[in-house]
Amino acid sequence: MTNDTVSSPAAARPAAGPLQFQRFSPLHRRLHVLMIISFLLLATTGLTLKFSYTSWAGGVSRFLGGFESAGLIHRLAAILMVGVFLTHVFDLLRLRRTKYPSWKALIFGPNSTMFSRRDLTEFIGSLKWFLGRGPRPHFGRWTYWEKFDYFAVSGAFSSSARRLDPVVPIFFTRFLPGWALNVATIVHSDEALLATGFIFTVHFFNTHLRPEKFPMDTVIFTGSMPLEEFKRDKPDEYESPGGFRRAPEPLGRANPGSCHARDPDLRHDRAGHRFWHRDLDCLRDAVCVPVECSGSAGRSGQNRRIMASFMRVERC
Amino acid sequence: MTLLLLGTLVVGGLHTLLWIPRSLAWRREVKEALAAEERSAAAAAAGKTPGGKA
Repeated sequence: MTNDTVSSPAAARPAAGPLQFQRFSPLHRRLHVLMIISFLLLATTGLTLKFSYTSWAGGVSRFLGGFESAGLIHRLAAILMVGVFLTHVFDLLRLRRTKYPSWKALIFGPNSTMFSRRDLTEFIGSLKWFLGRGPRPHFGRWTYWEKFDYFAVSGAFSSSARRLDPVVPIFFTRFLPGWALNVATIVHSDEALLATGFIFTVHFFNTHLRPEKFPMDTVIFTGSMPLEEFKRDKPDEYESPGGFRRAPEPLGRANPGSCHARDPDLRHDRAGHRFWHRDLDCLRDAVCVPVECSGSAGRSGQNRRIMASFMRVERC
Repeated sequence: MTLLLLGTLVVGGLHTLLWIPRSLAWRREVKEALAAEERSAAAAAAGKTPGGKA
């Protein structure tokens, strides 16, 4: 996947509006769109096949061209989901190789989606907040419900993987007993039903339907959110030393005309726009190539990928 | 599997139900804070203009 959204200054910079904070890279956003497509196809066709004895399933299958076609669409969507998962794994491998000193730092670091003791504290703090017995927790990079969503999607992938048993039974029965295929079918069916129910109720409320974000939180699609909203939502990430930091004032321009501003904390482009980087990708020693830069350096895929991993705030 | 399915949905549903009233209150608080900020910004801007009552 190329990162062409940051190659165009006009596209990267909105015409006007409040300061924006970039939370998700173009790769994350595209993977999420592909995940939506594959998940909706899998849920539609999978539930149709699971409840094929019902009248509504018959109607849906006729719309899809029959149960056989539904099965084919289901397998194609599963291939797409596996592709999304593998892309994510390769991205993690790339992050580990280029930006993190160890697997431990990547998996258990402060910006990881792995559950930690902090999530338990924030979960309890949230319950107190719900009941009016405490303040809203100071959430960081990932809240506990975002992590839960992340692992729910991983569960959907694992469900797809288990379903590989019946899809290619001859291969798997070379080293698995026959009953394992039946178990795989049951586990896949129930786990997929759980994932579907969870996504369409809990995830939809958490991200789209809760009143403070209604009708939906668009950050996963646009990649950025207003800075003021970010400060309210993720105060700990905003305030943490390794995360977002306010730029020292006055800003001025650093190295006008140069594409390579090496200030580790604050970077400028030729137009004087400000960039901050956060600890997500540990890029303190990387060369920043702002989106405004023209020429081969600014257009190269490697530099665009580096830029994409910066948290960017622009004054427009 | 049934227990896992029901347990997850029940816990998630309870969490959601508890969250709704607090989320409504939070939305109101944010709106009020934003309105107050806008009022103070407008007042500051009016004070800076030549015709403003600084």
